Amino acid sequence: MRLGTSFIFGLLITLNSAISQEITFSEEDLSFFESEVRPLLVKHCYECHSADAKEVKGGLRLDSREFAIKGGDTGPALVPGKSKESLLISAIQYGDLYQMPPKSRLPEQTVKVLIDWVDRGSPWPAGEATATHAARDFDLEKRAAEHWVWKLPQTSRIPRVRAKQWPQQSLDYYLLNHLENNRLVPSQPADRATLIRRIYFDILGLPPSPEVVSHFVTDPRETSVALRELVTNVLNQPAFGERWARHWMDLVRYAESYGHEFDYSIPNAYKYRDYLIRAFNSDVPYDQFVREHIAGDLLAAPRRSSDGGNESILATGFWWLGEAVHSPVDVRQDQADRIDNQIDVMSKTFLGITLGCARCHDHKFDAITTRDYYSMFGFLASSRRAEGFLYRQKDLDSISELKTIQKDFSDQIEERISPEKLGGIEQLSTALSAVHEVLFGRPKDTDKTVEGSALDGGLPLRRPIDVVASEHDMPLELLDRWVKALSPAAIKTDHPLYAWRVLAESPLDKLPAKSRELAGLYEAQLATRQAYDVRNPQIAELDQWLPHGVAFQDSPTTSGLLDLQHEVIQLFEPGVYHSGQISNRLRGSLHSPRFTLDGHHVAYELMGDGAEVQLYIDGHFMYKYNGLLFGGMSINVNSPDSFRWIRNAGDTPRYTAHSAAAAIIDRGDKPVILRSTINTSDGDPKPTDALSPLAAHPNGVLNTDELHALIADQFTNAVNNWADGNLTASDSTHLNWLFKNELLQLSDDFKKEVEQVQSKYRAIEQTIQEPDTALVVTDGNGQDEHVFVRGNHRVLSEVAPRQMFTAIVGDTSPDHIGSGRLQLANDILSNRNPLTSRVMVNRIWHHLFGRGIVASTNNFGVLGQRPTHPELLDHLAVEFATTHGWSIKSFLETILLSSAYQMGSTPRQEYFERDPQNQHFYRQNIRRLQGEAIRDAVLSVSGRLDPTQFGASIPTFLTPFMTGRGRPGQGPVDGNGRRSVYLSVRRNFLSPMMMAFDSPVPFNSVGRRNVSNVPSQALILMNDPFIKGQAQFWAERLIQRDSDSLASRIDFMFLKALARHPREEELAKIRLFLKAQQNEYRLSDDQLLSDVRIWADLAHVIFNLKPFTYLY
Amino acid sequence: MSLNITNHNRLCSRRDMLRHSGSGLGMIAATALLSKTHAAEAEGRIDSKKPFIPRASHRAPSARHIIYLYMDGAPSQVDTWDPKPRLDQDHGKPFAMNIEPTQFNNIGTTLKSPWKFHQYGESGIPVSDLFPNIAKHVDKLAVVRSMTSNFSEHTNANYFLHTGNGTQGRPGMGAWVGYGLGSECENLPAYVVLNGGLTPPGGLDNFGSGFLPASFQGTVFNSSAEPVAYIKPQGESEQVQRNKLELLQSLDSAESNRVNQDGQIEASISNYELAFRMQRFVPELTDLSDESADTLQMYGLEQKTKGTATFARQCLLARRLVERGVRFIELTCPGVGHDRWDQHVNLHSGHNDNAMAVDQPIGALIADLERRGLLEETLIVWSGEFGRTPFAQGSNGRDHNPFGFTLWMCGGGIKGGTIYGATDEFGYKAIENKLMIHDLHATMLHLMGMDHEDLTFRFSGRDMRLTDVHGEVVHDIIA
Repeated sequence: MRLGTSFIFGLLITLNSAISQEITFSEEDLSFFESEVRPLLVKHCYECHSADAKEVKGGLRLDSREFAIKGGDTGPALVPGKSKESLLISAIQYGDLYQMPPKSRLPEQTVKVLIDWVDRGSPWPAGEATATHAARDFDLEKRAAEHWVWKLPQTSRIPRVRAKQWPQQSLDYYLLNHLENNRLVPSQPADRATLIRRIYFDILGLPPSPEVVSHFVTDPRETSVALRELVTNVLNQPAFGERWARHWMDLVRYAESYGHEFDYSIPNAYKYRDYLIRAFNSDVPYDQFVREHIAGDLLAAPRRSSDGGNESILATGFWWLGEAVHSPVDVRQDQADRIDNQIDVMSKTFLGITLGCARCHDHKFDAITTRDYYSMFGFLASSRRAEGFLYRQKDLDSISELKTIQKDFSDQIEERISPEKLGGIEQLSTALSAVHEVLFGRPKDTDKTVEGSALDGGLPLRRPIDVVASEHDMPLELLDRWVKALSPAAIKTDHPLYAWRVLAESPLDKLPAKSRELAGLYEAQLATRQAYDVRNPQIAELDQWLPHGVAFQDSPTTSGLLDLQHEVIQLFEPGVYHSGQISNRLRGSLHSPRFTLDGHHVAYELMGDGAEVQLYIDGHFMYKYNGLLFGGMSINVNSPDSFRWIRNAGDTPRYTAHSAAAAIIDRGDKPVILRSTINTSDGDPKPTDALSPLAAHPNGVLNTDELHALIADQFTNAVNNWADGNLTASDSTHLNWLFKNELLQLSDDFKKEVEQVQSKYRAIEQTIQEPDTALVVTDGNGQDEHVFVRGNHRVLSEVAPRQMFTAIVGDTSPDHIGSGRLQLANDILSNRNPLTSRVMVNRIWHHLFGRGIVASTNNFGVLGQRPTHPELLDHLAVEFATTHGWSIKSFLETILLSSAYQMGSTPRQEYFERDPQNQHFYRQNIRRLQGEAIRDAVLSVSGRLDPTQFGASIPTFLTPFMTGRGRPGQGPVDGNGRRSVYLSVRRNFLSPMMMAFDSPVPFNSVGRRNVSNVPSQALILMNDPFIKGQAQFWAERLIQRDSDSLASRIDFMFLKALARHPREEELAKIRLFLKAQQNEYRLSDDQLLSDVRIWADLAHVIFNLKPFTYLY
Repeated sequence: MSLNITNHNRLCSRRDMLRHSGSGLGMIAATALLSKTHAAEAEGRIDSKKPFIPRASHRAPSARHIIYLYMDGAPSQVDTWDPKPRLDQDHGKPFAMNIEPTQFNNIGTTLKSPWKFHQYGESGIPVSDLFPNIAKHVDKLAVVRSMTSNFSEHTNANYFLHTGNGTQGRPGMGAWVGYGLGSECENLPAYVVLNGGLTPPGGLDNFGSGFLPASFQGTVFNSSAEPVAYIKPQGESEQVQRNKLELLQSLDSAESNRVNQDGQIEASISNYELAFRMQRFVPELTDLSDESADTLQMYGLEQKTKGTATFARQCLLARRLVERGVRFIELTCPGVGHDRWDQHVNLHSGHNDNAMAVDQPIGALIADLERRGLLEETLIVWSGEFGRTPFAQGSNGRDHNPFGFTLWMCGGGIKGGTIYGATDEFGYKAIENKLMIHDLHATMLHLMGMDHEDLTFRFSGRDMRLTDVHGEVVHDIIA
């Protein structure tokens, strides 16, 4: 037995009736309870489930009958009289939901006693009420009131300071005031050489060139003036985005593979990285940046790149950069874990709150409830992972121009259309009787065959076609086309003229009977199909499906919509979802609303070629990589000319009662058309023959004239329906057949008009380029999630409406269209939210000072650290959102130009006691460079750095230690000289150098990297072939500097690597070293400057120096 | 300051000092204290200059080292340590219990074990014919037959077994031990993984340090010529490198003085020293020329069967690491031409070959540690990440089974000759004294002298533990 929600809810109802009765038990029953049952409960259950328990587990107490009936977190435990429905019994039988007692199963005999007790109505002495536990009160308002972060940042007056000459920026007043209050004096400004190196690494992650250093150090202007110019210049360099994108990648656990057993690739992950680099470089305001991350797919006017690409939507890729497991045995759990990671990353990154802690219970410390958690869950469960087909603006403009042409012309034709306009209905009767004569002869000479004359299909002609044409006053070519188009082989059972064909073939005397027989057949088929449709309803009306990209446009086809991609007039079948609505070449996908699987298969009535149908169970998508347990979820559509039923079969029956959603993806040049989708355990519906016109003739069609009139009526109806906007599928097929085979005699003017519009249309259509592709989010239908009791997805409680944290917005009942993510983004950015701005300014401070004002950058909650300078933090937060208009560059500039930032970093003896860890920021911090910056600096100094930006990542250089499943191809040892941000990040094959230097393992948001100190760092810098190779590379370039003296070369190397000149004593030591190496290599003095080994040795030492790997 | 690169001892000097100081514990306690009250601030207690400095345990330890014999891929409990006559009776019949969802959903009939079981030793613990050598030591083993896991997929289960959490990125048990206790050895990392050749699904992250400082991550030793990454200087003479190191040291120490001996700079300088010591010590460690021919033969270094010699070398290295004071040593399996212990098909040949590779070396390891007096301070754990189904997958394989499986422990603090817990009559699910991975971790930490509830690290707003919020010490298997 599987204990689902319905079971629990069922119990609730039973429970109410049970409680309301007064029950008395017999002496015998009570004595049975006392002697047999109570001792068992005491022995096996009460350690955890009674008033005496240290902590009542699962909220369940079994020390009174009422408590047992009331149950715990997962609902009632006891249904008196019904052991099979009692969770208690299921648990002691080691059922699905619980296995109790947890350590060992009870002996069979004991279980029997308890079953017996329940079935006897659970006798228990009356009036034995035990003291209740006080309910654990979760007081959200109290919590919000007691913790600083829930109060909005306060604007305060700029504080007074004594050392009035010190501040350069308003923030300096706050810091200085704090220092003065603590009797500390800020450190002297760092010298210019130190400062320029600090700014270069902080902003660009690269060392300044010797020329830039010399220029700045010798600039005769005041430091503040020279600095302002320098900062402006640095902030505008392309390397800025690369440096700051990497910081952000830590936050969103950026990786390019899914990890786990086979480390499958995440498609196009690098496009998110490139998005970040461009976004930082073009200084996208932070509020826009956040909005793009949360809901970049939903913005009315997405931000466009210089070539017109959709930038905003690329940000949504971050949602999908987490780990993923193939073939999960419990797919709902897998979804819960995946979404948990998304929620955790999102809440830490943007809000500095550890929402993940509220997955199983209200947050232990913060003003966050479990409901808040599942509110977020709903936003994500209502969103979909999608392959984005991103068209450039100019193509979108073309597409909307095509749409306008199409609509205007379709409307125009619809208004003007009539049977007369198409040549009149008489032509049809005439043509049909002519064809009838040619194919079946006149009634009197049915047996004759025209000698030597036959259609291509070998069909005998009963009368010469030229004679008949002339008799009927028809052009010969026209009649010839009619005859071919109506040959029995060309008219299948679903053709609108099928009724005509079968009746025309039959002997004239049998016509009425045959006609009545077919009408009967039609009625029977119709009834069968209707019964089938009642049994198998659509999973959703087509207009409930959600298109993504442009191919499917934004709705199913409408009546009279013309397909202008042809030489002749063609109508779209109305009421289908068609990916060629504008152009067959357009890409896009179509997503069903979520539905609950109850039939064994999902079947689609589809026509198309090369498209793909995917079924996502609980959002699981990894079967594209490994189909184990998910066979048949992905199918190809391969029926270019006719509708066919295709189905997700295979493993679908495993997932009965799961939530599913289908997607139809068109990534080719041919269209795909969806008519209907059902969730069924039946076979395909039987096709109905196109015999509906005969239903109007209950007495049968009497003669050929009536037969021809029937078809002419059909034609008239179709044209009238077109004019009225009520076209049916059969009408459009009928008319398209007439147009396509050129069976109508249209006026030349009309033909010309059509031709003109169509050629203009096709000319524009040809200019549309292939779209860019990326992994993005698209909106599904909105659905709120239930709270999972104790994080268990099988036990659901109240609905958690999709909304921002209650502590910020209160209880709302939002009425979202779609997922609601755009509203979420707006709430994150709302000025009622105390978190967003604070969290971001603190991150920036952290990167520029080595420690945030709140040191725990990802946790502003109760368990995080308190701000060391709360007023400063609030001042920065308010300024960032207002004065700076969320501009990161503008904000950075202010900090870089502050006295606070420019302080020297050397610890001061006199403060060793009072501020050993520089908690007060009386100085800058000495900081170790990140692995990326060390590697980039090595490349930059050696001259190997390739400044190329963007694109697919360079594969990691693999050592023999990097083994295991999913091992990728070998990468170049020097990463082709590219910056570290462009090296691949595969979860199971992370770069050993980056790992050693604390680049985070991408499993969760990391706001503050470890700064560890491990032998592998030293071993890498000493022995890694990359470092050695770069020392060699640098040396080879150095020995080509022919005008060097020993001193000038050493000076140049220091300037290049350390942004300063060597000190006298350093120079002396190096000279001794060079001498020693010279001896070792047995070189003469004149070989000293030109021997590459010596200089490679010195270069190697420099790469290992503390002033190379640390920032002062 | 001396770089100490010429002064290397045969074994680790600190360990010798501890061993010869009578009560090493008192001395350790003086250097650092991992007290209950301040566990939450442990993050700040690690001296980044000397992360491996020995730290006091919560209680007197029974074991000082752990050797974890990781049987990657999951050996079958009913074919190794948990005989089930009922499977013989039901062989070929539909399986008589409710079947949980399986990884491959290819459910065959009940499958009896192809191996015979015999009772061994005074305890009479039954062992299948797969392990004749380990069977000789059965009276030293505690066989736990009621293990369970939360995951039936390798990678999740591996992470769970190693880190107490089914997802990537958490610290491994070896990292926790190093974090908690430091190391007895100055010249080697506290946590060493001896890689037999098969990296388990989930990759090196099984041995990672997660949110703990990187100092505590497992260092992987390969059986290749360069056992540790970047341990060998690249193509330069000793004198050339020495000159470089001397210049580096000289420039850096001047620099350190210039910045008032900033803690980080100092720590980084001392870190180079450990690296140089490792550069000396690791080649000496992996050079087996000082081992007797008898020893090499006992471990099976000359065996020709697939994988045996490799695993023998790993076991011998494990002993040498124990001798040098390394805290946590994990062995991964060698390749035997099958898919680890993961016998979805070919149960018979697959388990035979995997057992052949490890049985003799493990038997020798136990004997060797015992005769050197090291077994009593070394905890050995043998386990897979879960077990296998007692019913067939297809016809001749077994699928994953996290509901009940067997592991054994021996050595430091373990009550030998014990059987603990039981599965049902089919060997499918644990029903008596059911244990979680967290209980295993709690017990291991307990034996090492640590209280799993007090070994915490503040991360992401929580005091994180190896055992999350679970885990109970299994006292019944402790001597």
